[in-house]
Amino acid sequence: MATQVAVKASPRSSEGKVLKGRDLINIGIFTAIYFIIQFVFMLCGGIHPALWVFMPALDALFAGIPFMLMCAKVQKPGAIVIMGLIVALIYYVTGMFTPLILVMMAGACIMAEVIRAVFRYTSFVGNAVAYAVFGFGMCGSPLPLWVFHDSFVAQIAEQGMGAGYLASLNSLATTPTLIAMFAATFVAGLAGVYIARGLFKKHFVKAGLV
Amino acid sequence: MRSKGASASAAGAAEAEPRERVLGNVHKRGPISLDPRTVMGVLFAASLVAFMPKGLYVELALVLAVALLQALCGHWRMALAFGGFYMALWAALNVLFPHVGGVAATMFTIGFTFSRKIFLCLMAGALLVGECSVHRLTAALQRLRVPQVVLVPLTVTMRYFPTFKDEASHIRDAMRLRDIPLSERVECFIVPLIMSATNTADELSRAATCRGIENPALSTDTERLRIQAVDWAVLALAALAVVAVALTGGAL
Repeated sequence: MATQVAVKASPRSSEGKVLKGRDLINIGIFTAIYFIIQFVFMLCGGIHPALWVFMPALDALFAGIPFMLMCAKVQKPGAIVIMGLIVALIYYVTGMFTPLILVMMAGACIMAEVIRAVFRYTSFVGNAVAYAVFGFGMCGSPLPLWVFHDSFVAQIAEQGMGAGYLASLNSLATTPTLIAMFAATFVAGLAGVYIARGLFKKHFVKAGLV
Repeated sequence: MRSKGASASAAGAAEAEPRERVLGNVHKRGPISLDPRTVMGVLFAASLVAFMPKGLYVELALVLAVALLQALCGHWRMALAFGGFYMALWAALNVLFPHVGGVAATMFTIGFTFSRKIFLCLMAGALLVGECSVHRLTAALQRLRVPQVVLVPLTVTMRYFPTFKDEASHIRDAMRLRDIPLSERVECFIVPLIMSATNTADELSRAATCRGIENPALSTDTERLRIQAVDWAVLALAALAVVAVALTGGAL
């Protein structure tokens, strides 16, 4: 971390390409908001397996605002990786997820980071695509349905659920649903960015926030 | 950067820890007190075991072991609650859903099965959260060589949650005063929230800069973190349990 003091009155990101104190705090606060939005949908995911599978898409649709605002405030490499890392770390530390989420999050964040770098951080299109890719990170949550499928089926069968239920579970955890999950997440991510942009234009630009 | 959150009014998640000495918190609730790193190790072991096949008795033994650990750390109620929770979960999955069925069975079976699989992770996670303040957790992560670029935002995120709660209830109060149509509720909630978050970020970063967040030197803390014999024993037992479950396949 650079030593020089970088307090500025403007809401823009501080100079240079190294993350400084104010960037880190911006990342922290917007990550908190992102996490809260996501957590609400994760709780909904417990209600029905189909909701769980499409939870990443719902997240992506509604969590665009904190992400895009963070992108506007911190135009430097590393911001997205830190955001994803914190989300995955909180979920992991509270014991709510498997290590799969860490792997998915890391992969998605690095891809999003590369996209942002290619578009030079300020472009709207670049940030939008980066956000859509970033959404894949949360796909690590329902992913055990596929990866640990046998373990799931074995236990549900052992607990005595009927064959009909197992058949419907098998029909849910197929390759087409897996592809549908990723596709829905990506499209919802792009839609989420447009919602965010609408709000930006209507309120935040006027207020001089971005 | 240790206590910068408490400085700005916004992120004042007050940690009400009794301070028995001037320097360093003596951290003891139950018969044993564990270093946060040990609990993280247990959590890691639990996540390794989560998707290995295990028999009912092995599973029960593991749940009891972690519950015992919670109780020994002084969290009696947490241990009892998780024990009861596990029994309820087991009863629902094995008795209620297959034999009674109905809509609830099709809806909740996957979710409950998943909860049962990650139950040990939930227990270890609850212990970690119950045992450590944000401050202690950060200190432990710093000892584990987690870089400052991750630690600073992580601390800010965790300390922002209580602030968010206050902020949300203020906005809800303000919305109740004025009759807001249902279609505009979400927008009317999110916009002021984002505004206040942005202001908080600005204030906090000014305060933190004054307190030397840009200082590249390693920061010090008042937590007395030391891995003791108890910690090594718990870690060894956790590793042993993982190896045993992996080798025997939980066949018992």
